[in-house]
Amino acid sequence: MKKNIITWFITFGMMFSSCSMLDIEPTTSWTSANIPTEEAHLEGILYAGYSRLQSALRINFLVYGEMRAEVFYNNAFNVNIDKVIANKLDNGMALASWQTFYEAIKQANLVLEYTPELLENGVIEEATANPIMGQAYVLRAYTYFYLVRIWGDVPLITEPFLSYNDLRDVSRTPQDQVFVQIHSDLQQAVKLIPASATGRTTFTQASAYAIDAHVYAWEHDYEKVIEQADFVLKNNNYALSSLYSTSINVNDKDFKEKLHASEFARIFNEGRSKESIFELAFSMDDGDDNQYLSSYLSGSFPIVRPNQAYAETFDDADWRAVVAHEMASNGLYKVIKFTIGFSSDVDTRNIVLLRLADLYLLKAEAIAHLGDSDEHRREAMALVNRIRNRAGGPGFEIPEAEFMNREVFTAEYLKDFILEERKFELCYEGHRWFDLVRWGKAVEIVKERAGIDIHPLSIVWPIHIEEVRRGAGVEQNEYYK
Amino acid sequence: MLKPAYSELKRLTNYDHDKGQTIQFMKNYELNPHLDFDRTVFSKRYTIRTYLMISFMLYSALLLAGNGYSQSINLKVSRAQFETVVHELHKQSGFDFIYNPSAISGASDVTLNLQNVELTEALNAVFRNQPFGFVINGRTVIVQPREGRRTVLQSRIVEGVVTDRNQVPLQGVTVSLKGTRVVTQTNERGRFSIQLEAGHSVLVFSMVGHESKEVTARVGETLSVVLFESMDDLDEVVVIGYGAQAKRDLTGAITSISAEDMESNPGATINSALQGKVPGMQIVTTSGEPGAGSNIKIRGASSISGGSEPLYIIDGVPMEAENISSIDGDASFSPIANLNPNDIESIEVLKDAASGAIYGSRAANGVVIITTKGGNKFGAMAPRATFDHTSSIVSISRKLDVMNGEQFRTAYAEARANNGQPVTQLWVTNPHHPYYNRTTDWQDVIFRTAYQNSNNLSLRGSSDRFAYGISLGYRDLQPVIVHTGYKQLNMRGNFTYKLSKRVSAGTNVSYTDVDYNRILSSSSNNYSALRAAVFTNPVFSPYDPLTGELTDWLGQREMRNPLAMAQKVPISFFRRAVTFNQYVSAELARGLTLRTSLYTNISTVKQSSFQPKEFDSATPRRDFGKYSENTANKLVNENTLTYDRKFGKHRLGAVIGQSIERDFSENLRLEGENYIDSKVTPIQNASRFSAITRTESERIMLSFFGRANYNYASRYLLSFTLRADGSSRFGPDKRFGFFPSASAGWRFSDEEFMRFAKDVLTDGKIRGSVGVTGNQSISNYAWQGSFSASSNRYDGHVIINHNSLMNTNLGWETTIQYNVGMDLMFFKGRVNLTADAYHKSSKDLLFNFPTNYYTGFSSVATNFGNIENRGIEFLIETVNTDNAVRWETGFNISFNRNKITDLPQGDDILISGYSLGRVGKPIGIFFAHQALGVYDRDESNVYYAPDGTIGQYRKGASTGEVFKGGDMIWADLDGNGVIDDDDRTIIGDPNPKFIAGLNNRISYKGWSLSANFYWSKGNMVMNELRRRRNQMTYTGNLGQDALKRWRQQGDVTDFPMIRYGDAMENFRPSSFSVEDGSFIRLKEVILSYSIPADYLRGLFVNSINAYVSGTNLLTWSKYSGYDPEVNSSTNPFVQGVDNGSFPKSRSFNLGIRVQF
Repeated sequence: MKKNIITWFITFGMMFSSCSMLDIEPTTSWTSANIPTEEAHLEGILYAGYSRLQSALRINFLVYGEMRAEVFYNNAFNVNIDKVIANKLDNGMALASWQTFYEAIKQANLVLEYTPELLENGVIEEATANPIMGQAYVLRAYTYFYLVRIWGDVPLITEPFLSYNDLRDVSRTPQDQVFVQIHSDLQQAVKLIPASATGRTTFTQASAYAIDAHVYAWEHDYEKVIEQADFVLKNNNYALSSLYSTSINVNDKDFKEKLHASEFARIFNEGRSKESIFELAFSMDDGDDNQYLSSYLSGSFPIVRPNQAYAETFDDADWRAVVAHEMASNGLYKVIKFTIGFSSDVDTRNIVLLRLADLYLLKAEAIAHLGDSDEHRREAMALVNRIRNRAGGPGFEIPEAEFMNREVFTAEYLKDFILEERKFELCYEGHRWFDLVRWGKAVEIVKERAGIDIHPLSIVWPIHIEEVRRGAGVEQNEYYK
Repeated sequence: MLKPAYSELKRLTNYDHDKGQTIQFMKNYELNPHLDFDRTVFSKRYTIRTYLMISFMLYSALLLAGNGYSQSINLKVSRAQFETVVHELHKQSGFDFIYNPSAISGASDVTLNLQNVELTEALNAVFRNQPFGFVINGRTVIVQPREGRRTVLQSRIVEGVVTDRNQVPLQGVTVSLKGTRVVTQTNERGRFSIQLEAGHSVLVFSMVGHESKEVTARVGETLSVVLFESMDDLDEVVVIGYGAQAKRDLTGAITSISAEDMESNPGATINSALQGKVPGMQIVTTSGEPGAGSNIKIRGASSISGGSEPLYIIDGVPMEAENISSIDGDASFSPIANLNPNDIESIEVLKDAASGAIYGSRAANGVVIITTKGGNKFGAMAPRATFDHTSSIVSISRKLDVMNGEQFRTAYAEARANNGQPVTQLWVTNPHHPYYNRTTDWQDVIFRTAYQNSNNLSLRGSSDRFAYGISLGYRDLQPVIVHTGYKQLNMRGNFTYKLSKRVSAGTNVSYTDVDYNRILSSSSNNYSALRAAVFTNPVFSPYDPLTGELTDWLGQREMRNPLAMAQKVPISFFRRAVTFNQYVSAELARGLTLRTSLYTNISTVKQSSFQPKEFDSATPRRDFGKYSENTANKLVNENTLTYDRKFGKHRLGAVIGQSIERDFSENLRLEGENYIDSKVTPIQNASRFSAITRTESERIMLSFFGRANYNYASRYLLSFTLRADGSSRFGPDKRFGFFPSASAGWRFSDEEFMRFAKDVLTDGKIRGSVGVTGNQSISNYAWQGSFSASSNRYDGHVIINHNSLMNTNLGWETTIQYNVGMDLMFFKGRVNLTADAYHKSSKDLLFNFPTNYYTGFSSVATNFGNIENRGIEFLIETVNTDNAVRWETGFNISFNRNKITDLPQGDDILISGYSLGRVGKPIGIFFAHQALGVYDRDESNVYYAPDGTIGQYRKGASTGEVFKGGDMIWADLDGNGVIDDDDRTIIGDPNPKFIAGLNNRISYKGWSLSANFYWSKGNMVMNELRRRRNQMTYTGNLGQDALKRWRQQGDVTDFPMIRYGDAMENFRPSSFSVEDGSFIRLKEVILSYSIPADYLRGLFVNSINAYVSGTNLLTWSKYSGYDPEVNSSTNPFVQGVDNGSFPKSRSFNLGIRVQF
């Protein structure tokens, strides 16, 4: 008996004494050591990048891109939104944090780090690797473009942090250098993404060109804008969705319903239209719970409403207004562009970030900035009129006689006209504030139309206080010091 | 005052249920003139006093009524054997009969027919024709020859009963006849009988933990002996890691708590029982919710990562205690709440490294060893059943002063006006509207006075080869918040059995079932019921004033109705746990024991919550539900070899062992929307799942350990331990941690030169120790980094997020602790003093260190920084009087000073806004702005710049807003005229200067009165609840303190203007919200009474104890919130933050304990 026990004890002890038993790996997740090893992993990491961008922009595409302009007023007293609309930003607002944007960049960097490795090891082939990498490049570039537009100089991270040992203090990189990186990423992307990729909810060649055009516009490099925009405009995978139709009459009883059912309205409410270049996909099936659009814009007590003065700048002949907003019985406007026929029980809506009409007008803007010759005018206004024609038919176009009249259409007026046209076309799509900043008119127009003073230094957002506190090297924007 | 009442009660009860007894008293007296019977004639006063006794009598009377004995005898026998008749008499009367079988050999058969006669009459009849007679002594009939005194001596039998001070019979008392080898033990009723020998008549009564007593006995008499617990407890055995040791031989800092110290209220927990009893142990519960988690620190916080909880060892099995968080993340529950406090026999708290180091890796925060009752010892103990019942009336201990309807209406309009906003709400513009013209104090709506009860039934006993303890406990703890309920069922069985002379084994099994229906209790969630009680607009009523119906929303859908929420939002928490532990130990050679054990448990927590549509604020409304299931499984195998031998004066002990532990957990979480029905809401009734997550997690720990003890005559004591732990949580190179310790003690009182002081200093020992302990509380797989698939998709595609960074350097956090201590015992234990001083320094702290967001991560698991704790602790226990009245006092006080001694690059870290870590400062010290007062008017804001210019103070930036009248005046520490982050400073320390406990117990015969106080001094509290209310980020009621707010130019006050949304951040975290959280709490007062064993003799009841008590009766504190003791966070870094958790409740309890 005694002997047995001892033997048993020793065997038992030996059995467990082996230290390798402490090598355990998670069974329901991966570790840094065992992922990515296959194509599906890379895709998962890439799509997570899209998903992070989604989180960063789900309503914030409006917060960062439009709310600081003259467009909205705060309807339900939401403290943070109030600060944005009043242009009184502070460094403690969650909105001042760039965390989610950098999470998207993190995922893109991972793809760019690992795909070449897997390619080299022969795990995947070029045909699969290229589109994945190409998308990651666009994702990174586009995210940086948002970062720069919001915060100015930002830390430029192009390699993933994989381990504790990789951590280091990074200071803010000057915008110019970030732009160099963005252009280079986008150029890489168009080489890698096949022309056959035509999805609307993932990045394509066209979306890379469109973003690049926007970045050049931001840098005021107008020739480049035209060059990049043309790649998209010539791509016959994209066409303007229709709105104006001779079969619809303003006096029709169901005029509004007809417009709400138009191709143009369906860009935003159905998604994946022929005009769409890039949109963030939201779906209930994906677990998205995008009630933001209705609670912010169109619910019974929306957080923001368009200023009446703003809403009334729309021409009566401009059919886009009918799709964009409506006046409720109480005389107040609300935005319906994304929520026509919306029922939060069953619906989500994609958020269209880039579409063809934007590129039409961006090109017009570039042309107008390049010169004021007749040819320039004709070319620019042809683009604008194409958009106006869709909005209100031939009668809504500006006749050549009119825009060639330099007395009325001064060089400045023409440019303003294009800026204004962008406002009507792209209203509530998260462009207005960025447009004003790009045109250098933010301070002027917001003062003039909303009576809000903006200090030029406060055009950039504050960096979240936590970020400043945590890092050696991340310095606060001047205005918020 | 108690004395006469008690003695009269004794007579009264005797008289009452044993009519005619006085006669026997007299007879006895004649027989044995030395018997010390009280001959006082009954006082007439007793009848009045009786009323005072009624409550206690009630219990005994009830029991007596049902006892089956009758005082009148019916006997109808014909030619019955004498013994049979005696047996019948015994049955009917409950009287015991003592006789020598040889003495009744000549008995003649009995023929009788008696109806309703008294016992004496019956006895006289029975004994009439017998060759022997009888005497009655108490409740015993002694049969004796008629010849007289000469033969009486021959029987030489002495019998009696031994009880403790509280009249509870003592079983297992050794009764020996001095100078002879005659010895016996008391039975389960405390009774004994012993045969005297010629020339010897001194009986010695002895029992462990009690003082021995010598009594000179006389034949035939019945002794009533009371044994007092001994004050000298040096022989008491204390449970230590992997063994037990006599208290005398301890060299480490260990505090023992026995079952008696457990609290009396049904909601009692182990943590609440320990609070104020163990010097150096600070326990702060996160809320007053049943089963709530606690923030426990033994000798200060030595870790940051969330692991400051001690290691719990329950019946030898380690349980790492991680609080369980609720499904909505608003509360945390204690992992040890599944233990029934009633099952606990003793708790040992190991504080220094030398005691804890045998548990190595996890002992850095101290070790709490819990031993459950029953099945521990072999010996002859008849089955003993115990039933406990406690009933309580429970209510909240404090209400906050909130504004009434009119006050709030004014304040709200003002708050809006201060933003230049018109007020359009009907309840402001239309104050006479029937919906808005009254005031509701929502605390009255949300809180209630609840009835709680707890019941326990246990059965324990043992033989030479088998010992068992089985218990069943049921507690119904209705919380003080409406529409909530908490029920807990506990079962436990402990069995030990001897397989052969050298092999014994044991089995422990337990089962726990907790069923809790709760409502949200804390967090920032705006529909937490408790916050709602304070925040809800007082002009609204829970019921529609016109129809009387409960409304879902208040006002014009302005606020959810907290009462409707409480009724209609079901949140449930189920917890089930089964444990099984089996061990075998074999004595391989003399003193050498091998023990191997296998432990396993399965514990499941199932939670669900559902928010019906009607409370959704979005349009159209949706309903949401959640369901989660966490299953944890633990497997521990432990093998130890113990050696313990005494060679003359040398005593040598050693343990070597090895253990392996595997922890496995599985979590499932489902979230759904759009239910098909709002009444029946299992998760599958959701028409869509918005999140589905399932995870598994595993950890393995492999350990080797050993200890050697040596002592010489208990005078020189030495002990060494070493443990090596390998944990799968750390990188391959950092896996194993080594944790050595050494300690020594010197009992100087035993030295020759101390002999002169022996009368005063009974025992004196100094001890010292040094040791290393560790901590591994970081998540499983932490070093490996993590990628995981999310439950969301992007456009139908699976997404894989990189969640955490890998850190191959991640390793053990270690703590080196030095301890010196002294144990002094004066006057044979009348005064005991224990003092300890320690220095603890922890390095390589495990921490999820905040990283810059540009990394894509918000934190990374790493080791960093050092923390130091220094402190002294005193424990003084005295027996102030020890005659009829015994008065014991225990006082302990401990001072701990905590300091961060190193941080990476010396940088400050700030957690959750204002809890600061800074080198040289205590952990979690409050760091925020200093409020200096309130500008009485706009012009009062003047800033004199260093360059001589005059300006005004601005907020945030040189271009920021100018502070105006009614805004807070902030200290501008850098003198730049801008109030920003750089102007923050240390504004308060949440660590107490000292904590102390005072426990008193006075007992007199069956009565005992005890009172426990707990005192915490100098800890500051950040009153977040108050701060958030004043910020008015949404429409919530304010406190009465806001009545003195600044309202117009020229107002001089220290309370700033209220402004909807608090644009100027007057209510930012600051010294304005920091309050002194010092308090003294009368934790519990218990008055208990045990019915004397004498009166229960002959009943099937062995002892009855009844008590009344009050818990959390009084709290003296200046703090303005619900409770200064609440800390909303379980993170040791974030201390003293009051987010408005469920307050502690006050209870009045009535209990009874009956032992059969």
